[in-house]
Amino acid sequence: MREGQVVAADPFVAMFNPATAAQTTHLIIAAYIVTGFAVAAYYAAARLRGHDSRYHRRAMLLGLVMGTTLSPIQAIVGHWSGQMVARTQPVKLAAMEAQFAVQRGAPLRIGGWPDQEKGVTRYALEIPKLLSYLAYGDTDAEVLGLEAFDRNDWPPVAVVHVAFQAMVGIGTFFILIALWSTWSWWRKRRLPDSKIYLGTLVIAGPLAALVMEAGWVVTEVGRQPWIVQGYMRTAEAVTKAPGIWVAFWITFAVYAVLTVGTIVVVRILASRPLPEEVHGA
Amino acid sequence: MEPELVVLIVMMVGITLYTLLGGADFGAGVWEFNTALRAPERERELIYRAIGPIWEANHVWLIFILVGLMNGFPTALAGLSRALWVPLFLALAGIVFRGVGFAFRSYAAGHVRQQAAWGAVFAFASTAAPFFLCAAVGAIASGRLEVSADGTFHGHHLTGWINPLSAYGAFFGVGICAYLAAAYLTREADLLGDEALLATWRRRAIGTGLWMGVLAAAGFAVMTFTAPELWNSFKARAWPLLGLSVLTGFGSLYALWKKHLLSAVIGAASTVSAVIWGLAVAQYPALIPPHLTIQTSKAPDNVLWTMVVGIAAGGLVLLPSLLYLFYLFKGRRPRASQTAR
Repeated sequence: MREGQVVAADPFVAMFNPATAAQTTHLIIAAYIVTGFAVAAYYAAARLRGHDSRYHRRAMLLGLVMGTTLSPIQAIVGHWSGQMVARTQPVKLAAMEAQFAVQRGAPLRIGGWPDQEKGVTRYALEIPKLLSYLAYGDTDAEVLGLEAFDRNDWPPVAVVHVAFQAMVGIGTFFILIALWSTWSWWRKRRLPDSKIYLGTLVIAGPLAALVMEAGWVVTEVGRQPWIVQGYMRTAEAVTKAPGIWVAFWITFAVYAVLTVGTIVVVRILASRPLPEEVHGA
Repeated sequence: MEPELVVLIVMMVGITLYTLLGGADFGAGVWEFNTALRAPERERELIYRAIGPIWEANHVWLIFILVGLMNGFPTALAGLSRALWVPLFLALAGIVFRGVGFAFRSYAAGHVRQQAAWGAVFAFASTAAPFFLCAAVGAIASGRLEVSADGTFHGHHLTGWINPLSAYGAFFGVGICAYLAAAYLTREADLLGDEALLATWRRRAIGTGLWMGVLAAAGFAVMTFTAPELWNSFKARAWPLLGLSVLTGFGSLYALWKKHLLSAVIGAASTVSAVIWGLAVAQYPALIPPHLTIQTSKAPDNVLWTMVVGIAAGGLVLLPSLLYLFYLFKGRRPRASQTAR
């Protein structure tokens, strides 16, 4: 770039940068996990309400298989993603893990609330040396904490850290569901029938949507204040035109109308058989 | 050949296809609007059957044009976004609600009042979309958009797009859509063997065609008084295309009169395309006259060439598929499921 203008760009380097492979895989798998658990949740809820036909059980199994087989794989891909972030965006890693100090043998924090002003994270369960090991493969590796970077380049630490903990927490919960289901299948040749199990699957549905959103928050908010890392800050990119809030609220209203309309139409579709001829759409 | 010209031509093809395909889709809704939503059910059925299989594919061209602009001529897109956000936002609302109206109307089959409500949404939105899109085109063509060569906009952020040529463009655009739709639907009625519908649409197509002729003449007057540089460009460089448009326009009317309906459709498509390319030739090389040109707004050469290769590769898959789609649903083949009523 020269004086704020892009003078040369390599689209292939941009599209296939070091983070691309890990991120893309992580995202694709996430999509399947969310879909799987959403489907399973719907049919688990139907079964709890008494609709317990073969169709319902098969449908639930289909969603469950998709969600549970991919969850452990996603943990491995997530680890790969984390290693890429440690290499290419160390500030983001520091925020994710709420690691303020530059430290050899840095601990992995589970939970905890980062105090951005004071530069310290409280109430966390710390597992010594584990962060260094996970990020760099060496228990004594140096992890660049937030203090290694200019404060103006810090993302909102609490938001990123909480989102990251939520994502990993829910992901672990899904792996536990996977273990529960697999254990039952191995021992009893069928899935658990209990209301607790079905209820767990029901909450897994919205949790799946939440885990995906949490992941997005980690990666997008974690990149702040940059919109193009190293080249352009979000504050520089935003338009200076007036009336943005108006446009935002109008768009919000339009989507609200569309959401209501979609729900109404989907309920109509669900409640009656389709007519012989439906043109298009 | 310079890469920016290649990208430009590809985008012009995209604009042409969007007008000919998406415009007809909009036109179908415009006719619902025109007939004050009181058209008989059989007429509606013809419309929905005609656009049902293809309408989603048709509106992809708009995205293609915008992405092409964004990657090929980013400064131009920046300038247009700042200057034209009001009409583009309204056009977008039209496009969104049009699709929603169409889809929800189909799915609410049996709930008569809901269907009527969504049908009304479809009709109104289908008219609003080309109205505001073509107002935007008119605003650009008028040369009165205060966009400097680096893309900054100096006009009023709410009303800077309103001028005589943009107002004219809005009505002309709706007319184009109505004409294309009427011509295509006349042929659809003929393929179905429905004499009554054929007569209705033929009458409407001829009527709209004559009205478009009057409107076009009015357009020359509007340009002469409010955008003389553009009119001079038309006369100097784009007169062959203007002549072609007039000829094929009369040709399509004649073909409609004589019931040579495939010729009528080709004629209608040609007359509209000639207007679009004529405007492009007259305006060249400015993307946003008078200051923002192709040269000042284009992306670096390697980006442009990457786009060309990408589009070519995508086109290899897209174009045969699209042609097949149209062949299946629009070709003159015996169709067992459709019987004249």
